[in-house]
Amino acid sequence: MTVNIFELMELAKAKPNAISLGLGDPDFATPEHIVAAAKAAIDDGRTGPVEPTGLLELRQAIGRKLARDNGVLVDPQSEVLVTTGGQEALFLLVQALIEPGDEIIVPDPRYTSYDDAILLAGGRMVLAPTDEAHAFELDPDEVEARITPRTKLLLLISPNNPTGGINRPETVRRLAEIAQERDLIVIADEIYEKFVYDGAQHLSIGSLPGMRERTITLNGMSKTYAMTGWRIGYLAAPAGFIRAAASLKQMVNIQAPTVSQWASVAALDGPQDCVEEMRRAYATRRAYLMEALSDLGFSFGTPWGGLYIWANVSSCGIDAVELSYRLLQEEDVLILPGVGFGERWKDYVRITLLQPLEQLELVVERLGRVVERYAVRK
Amino acid sequence: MTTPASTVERGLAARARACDAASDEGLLDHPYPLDATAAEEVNPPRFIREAAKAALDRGETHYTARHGIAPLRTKLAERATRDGFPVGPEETIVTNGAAEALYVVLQTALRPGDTVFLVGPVSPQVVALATFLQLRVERLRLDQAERFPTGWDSSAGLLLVAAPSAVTGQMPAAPQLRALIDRALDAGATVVVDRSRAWCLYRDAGYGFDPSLGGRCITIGSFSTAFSMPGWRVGYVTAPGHQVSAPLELKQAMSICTSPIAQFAALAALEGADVWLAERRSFFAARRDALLRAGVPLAPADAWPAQLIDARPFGDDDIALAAQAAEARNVRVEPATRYGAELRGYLRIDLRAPRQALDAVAEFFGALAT
Ligand SMILES: Cc1ncc(COP(=O)(O)O)c(C=O)c1O
Repeated sequence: MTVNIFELMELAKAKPNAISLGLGDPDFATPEHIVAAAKAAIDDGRTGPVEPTGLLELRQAIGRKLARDNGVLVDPQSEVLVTTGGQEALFLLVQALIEPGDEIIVPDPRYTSYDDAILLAGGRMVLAPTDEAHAFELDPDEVEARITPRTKLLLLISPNNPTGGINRPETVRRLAEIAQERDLIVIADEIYEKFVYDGAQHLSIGSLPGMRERTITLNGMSKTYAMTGWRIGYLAAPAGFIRAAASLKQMVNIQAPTVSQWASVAALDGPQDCVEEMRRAYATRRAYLMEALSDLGFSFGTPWGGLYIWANVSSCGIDAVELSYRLLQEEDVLILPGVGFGERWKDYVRITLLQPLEQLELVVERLGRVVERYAVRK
Repeated sequence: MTTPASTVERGLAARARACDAASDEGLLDHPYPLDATAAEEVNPPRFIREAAKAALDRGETHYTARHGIAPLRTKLAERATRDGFPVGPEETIVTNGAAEALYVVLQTALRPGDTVFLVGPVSPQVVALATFLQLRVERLRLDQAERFPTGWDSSAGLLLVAAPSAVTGQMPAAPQLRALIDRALDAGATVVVDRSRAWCLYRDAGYGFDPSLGGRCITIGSFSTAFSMPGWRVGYVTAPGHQVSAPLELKQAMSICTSPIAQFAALAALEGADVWLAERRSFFAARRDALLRAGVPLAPADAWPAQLIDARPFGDDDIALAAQAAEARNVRVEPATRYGAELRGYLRIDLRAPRQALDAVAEFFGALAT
């Protein structure tokens, strides 16, 4: 049987009640105090237009957050842009920076919305490989080897989607040196920063000496606070860039939704235990899945962060797209095949941590049945 | 004060720099005590706000399908079909306002160097967007159908027409609009009808577009003005089947989806539209009539809230006249040449402005006339 990813997506539409480990959408509800802040804004009539750069109260909360959690120091008046999700943030920054022919070094695999934005702007993606053996950490030497006179940008996504790989602090420091030596602009997508496990550490490259003026930090509410539907993300970068990105933003969609901006103020300024509670739940699910998937014969690099397990299923001898298709068709479980994250990932699937443990147990059981049925043991 | 540009700033693409520079021009406005050009109330009515809260109570806080929630698309498609643009829910995309709708349509229909034909006066934002996308801009009058020669290179042109116009509040004359669109479609151009103000028509007689043409047009629209929801960011695109997937892909790449909180608010807006819009119509008609009675020379308008003042009897320098209004009555009115040279001698106000600002406009013209 040969199926492609489009057929899989069609099948997914036809099976809306399948257990979904597809989208990166947390199963948790947005914490109550955040929802309450949104309702208060609605009741008080704080739903009208705000500046295209975002509600000042939110930019200030972002400024405090970046200082507190990341050691990234910004002026909320001029160095923060609130966006309609991290998605718009990445779209805007790519459109603002890339000229046709510019090269951007990106981790392989990665969240491919970057690809869409880069190709639209006429940029050239240069893939820096990551692998299972090194837990999908970016290798600074591999990055350096790919720098040419046309290289303008380096994209870091840590923790990474889909691999869960993170760049350890010493790696981040080395990447910062390279960026300075070779005069690169760095995009740091830190949208999964809060979800790291077993003592792994996240370091923001924008906090390192000399990096502030060449770093664009991208983050958002979606993953940290289970707020995917609120559509709030942000960019922190030097003022001249933010001003240009804001004019672009104004053309693209004027501003991010106001009610969601008030909710985000509550998220950033309010109690953070909800984040730690979710992290612990993800950690438990991750530990469970890692063991269960190993038992099925799948391999993976340790996902030190993120919300996914990026598993190599080649040992069972079934094509990853076919495996995903059969799992959905016969067992009502949606996972995503690796080719959705880069062409060469034919042996991989991405499985999210975004269902309660009981559901994950069902998933493992069903996955086991599919493997049992179709495995061609070598 | 010149701080050395950061590496990031030096890396800006040329087109982003150009767009940044263009946007500075509009920022020179100083605050006026009275502003007759902007809405006073910016929150939607209670029934819409309650629907948003109910959506929150149901936990509608996750990503939605990228083209939007099904009930909203269904309602939008029904309305478009009723008005002469036959589409189904699968041909309807919910967007983050009409701005995003226009962006995805222009960017996917045209390539750099292609031409966008703009009919009548348009907002400078639209021109800025076209410039950013490296499109050629041609301004057309409604009666210039002959500008679309037959045999036009089918992929290289797009006609954008607002009906009614957000700048003037006027509806393009039906026979001319028909002829222009017919000609543009025949020539192979993409036709986009901006219906952002279609909910705001004073007459309640239906929109009545010819479906044989409407079925070949893309439409865009917005909930912002009609339902006082500018901060909520909901708009839409409808497009004939073969034209829907490219803008949908781009919308996903730009913002994944529109907030379900705002989408459910928009759904409630549509469900309560008849009563709400009837109220609004009579409210703005009364305001308009009061200004006319006070002697303000209003130009005819088919839709609220934009309203032109035909100030040509007082000279054709609208910029000087706006300055004079600011000086004499502390009130801000907008010189309409900002939107196109054909509006020389016109001023522009917004009927949603605070009552006192509109009174000041009336007083200003009352004094001018004597
Ligand atoms: C790496 C990465 N960046 C950005 C985003 C955008 O998310 P959002 O627009 O919901 O903030 C995602 C979503 O999955 C992601 O995985």
